[in-house]
Amino acid sequence: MLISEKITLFIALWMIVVFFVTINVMLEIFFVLIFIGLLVVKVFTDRFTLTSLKFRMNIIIFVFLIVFIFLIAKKIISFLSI
Amino acid sequence: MKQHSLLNDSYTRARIIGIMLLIIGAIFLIYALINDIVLYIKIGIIFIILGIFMIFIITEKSIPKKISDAQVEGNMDTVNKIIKELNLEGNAIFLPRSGNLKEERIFIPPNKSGVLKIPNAKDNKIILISEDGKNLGISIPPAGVKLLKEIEKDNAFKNITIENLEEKLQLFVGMNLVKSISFKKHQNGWILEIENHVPYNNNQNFHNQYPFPICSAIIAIIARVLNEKIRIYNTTYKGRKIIFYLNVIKKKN
Repeated sequence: MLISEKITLFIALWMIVVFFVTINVMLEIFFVLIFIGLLVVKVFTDRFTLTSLKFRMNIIIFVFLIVFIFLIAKKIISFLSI
Repeated sequence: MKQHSLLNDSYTRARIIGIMLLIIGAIFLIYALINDIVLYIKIGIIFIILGIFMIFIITEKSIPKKISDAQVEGNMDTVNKIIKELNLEGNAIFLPRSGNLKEERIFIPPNKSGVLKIPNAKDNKIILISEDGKNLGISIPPAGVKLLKEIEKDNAFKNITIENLEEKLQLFVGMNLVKSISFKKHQNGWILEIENHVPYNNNQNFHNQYPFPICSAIIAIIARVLNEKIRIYNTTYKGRKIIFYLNVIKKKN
């Protein structure tokens, strides 16, 4: 099995676990847990991957980071408005 | 004869599944947003992320292993025959890139023992003959030199030093070319352990003289990093593992 297939398989399993763990919880926590899973996979597979795969992983992580910043900003705004 | 359809190719299959997952995810997401159902939003996100991974992460096209092996074995057999024909008995010496050599070379001397004399190898010279017509051995590109070039297009071995060499070599594991690699200092030389996915079936002497592409690509990197001539002084086998005992041939000052 290729490293890219292993990464995809791990992320799929992780998302299923996160889905069941956060079934009654807010969407934000579900999203943040998936993001953490992505970062963990990135760190552990970095030495095994070619630069092109790293680059594509980074793009996905970057998109997640933007959404994460948006979620944090939303939380701060809602907190300050109270 | 077995027919190969598009769906037999894992790359195409991953793309098709990825697009299907994206569509299903989008349907879930739109339905969830219209009806305000959080559970469906989560399912939609899962499908979309998986679809993105299938399309953007699984991107390597592959051919069946037995076909790629057959391509390699043909060339290896030819080199093996040339070595036998020239009656060369010495073990391989990996020559790093230098002024005369644009890429790494393997020098195979005629004798296993005796004083080792390495003639000046050049890119355009294969059979090395002394002034008195004596055969000094052959200098040929390692089987893995093209593989190495292909990997290097990705700048994979940039900033490589002896300290991070073993770590950088794990890329071969990540590319599924080998199962594991370890590179350690051993007495006056180095031990390189390469675990293959299937047992090695070639004769030991041949690995001493002209290693398989992946093995030779790895030893060529070692020669490049050390910037020294590296000799395979022995190889041993342990199941799927091949162990190369390497030593450095120091430059004479």
